[in-house]
Amino acid sequence: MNYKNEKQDNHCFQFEPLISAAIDGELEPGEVNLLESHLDDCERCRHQYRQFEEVNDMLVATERQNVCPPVRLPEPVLLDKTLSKTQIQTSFRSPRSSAAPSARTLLAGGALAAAGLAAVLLTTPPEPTTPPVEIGDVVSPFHRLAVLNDQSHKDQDSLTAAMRMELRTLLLETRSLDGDENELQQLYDKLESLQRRLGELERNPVSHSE
Amino acid sequence: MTSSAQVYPRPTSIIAALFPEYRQRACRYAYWMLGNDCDAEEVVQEAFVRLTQRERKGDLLECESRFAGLLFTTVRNLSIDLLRKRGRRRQVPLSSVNEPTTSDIDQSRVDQLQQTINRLIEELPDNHAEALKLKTSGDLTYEQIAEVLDCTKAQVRTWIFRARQQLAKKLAEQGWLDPYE
Repeated sequence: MNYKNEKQDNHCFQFEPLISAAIDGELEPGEVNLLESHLDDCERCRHQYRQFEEVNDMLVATERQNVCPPVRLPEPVLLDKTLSKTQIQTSFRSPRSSAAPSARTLLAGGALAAAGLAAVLLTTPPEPTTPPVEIGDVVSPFHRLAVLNDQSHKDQDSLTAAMRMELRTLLLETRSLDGDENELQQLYDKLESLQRRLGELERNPVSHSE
Repeated sequence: MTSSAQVYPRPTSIIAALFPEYRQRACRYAYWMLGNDCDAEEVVQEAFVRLTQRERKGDLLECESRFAGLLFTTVRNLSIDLLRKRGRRRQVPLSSVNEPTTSDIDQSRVDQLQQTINRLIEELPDNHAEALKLKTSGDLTYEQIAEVLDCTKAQVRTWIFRARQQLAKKLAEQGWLDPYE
């Protein structure tokens, strides 16, 4: 390589990052003119520009080729599921996790959690704490929901069944507990009422038709 | 006084508005990180849940730019957590190591190119590859990429340039691009 070529390479070296940024539309206003005037004079950098463009085209093309996660459900429906997941996550806090030393604590914790869970199930849809996300904004044709609601109903059925078993266990445990009779009776009544309401819910499930 | 009721536009969530578009982009990026479409979808769903919770707590994502930065940061962090939990590095997506089908010559060539590019990207330094993927998969601006990767915009510009330069050199060596005479 002669001196002139070496000098030219060093000069071009400064412009190469600009070429890449130009392809992404990330040049500062001053840099645009600078690069344009250099490209007018430099065949080597014009070639570099074309090459970077080709690389970019290849990346975009192969990006489409790369297996993208399949869209199993329509987008709005996914958001709907995402949001309902949020609701459940914020309201449902492990009813079984209260493996406390005293049976009383266990019972009280379990009852509270069961009551919380029942509240989630019986008061659908729950009131959003803040208004920003409106499903209606993105769910346009509601009939599409029928497809996924089948799965949602199955999920809800399993949840209801689990809750029923939970309540039955708690009722049995309440009967066998010693302690303040009135307090225990109140707790027992509360659980029984929840069980009744759950039974009603199972017989007449909440309609999701929209 | 006339009682003409003024109709205010209903407040809409930026997440709701941008979900369809960004889900795809975020999935592509997560898929590249994890090499598994189920994991990618799970991570993206989780990221949207977290952003929704954040929005509900009052942290409003006032603009698309901020939303995109936060979404991709969350997706990246969740993907890294998942990889750590499973004790493995990022994997080359399975589709890229499949043998090309011989039935269709053009498709075979595209598959071959795809394999080559995926392999070359894997050979790049991590930050170069990540910056490039955030640009091509996520279509993020340099500023957003800088936010996701916690670096400066100038670094992003350099990393993407280096990544392109390396790819162009290797692709030219392998006959995919015309070398400069």
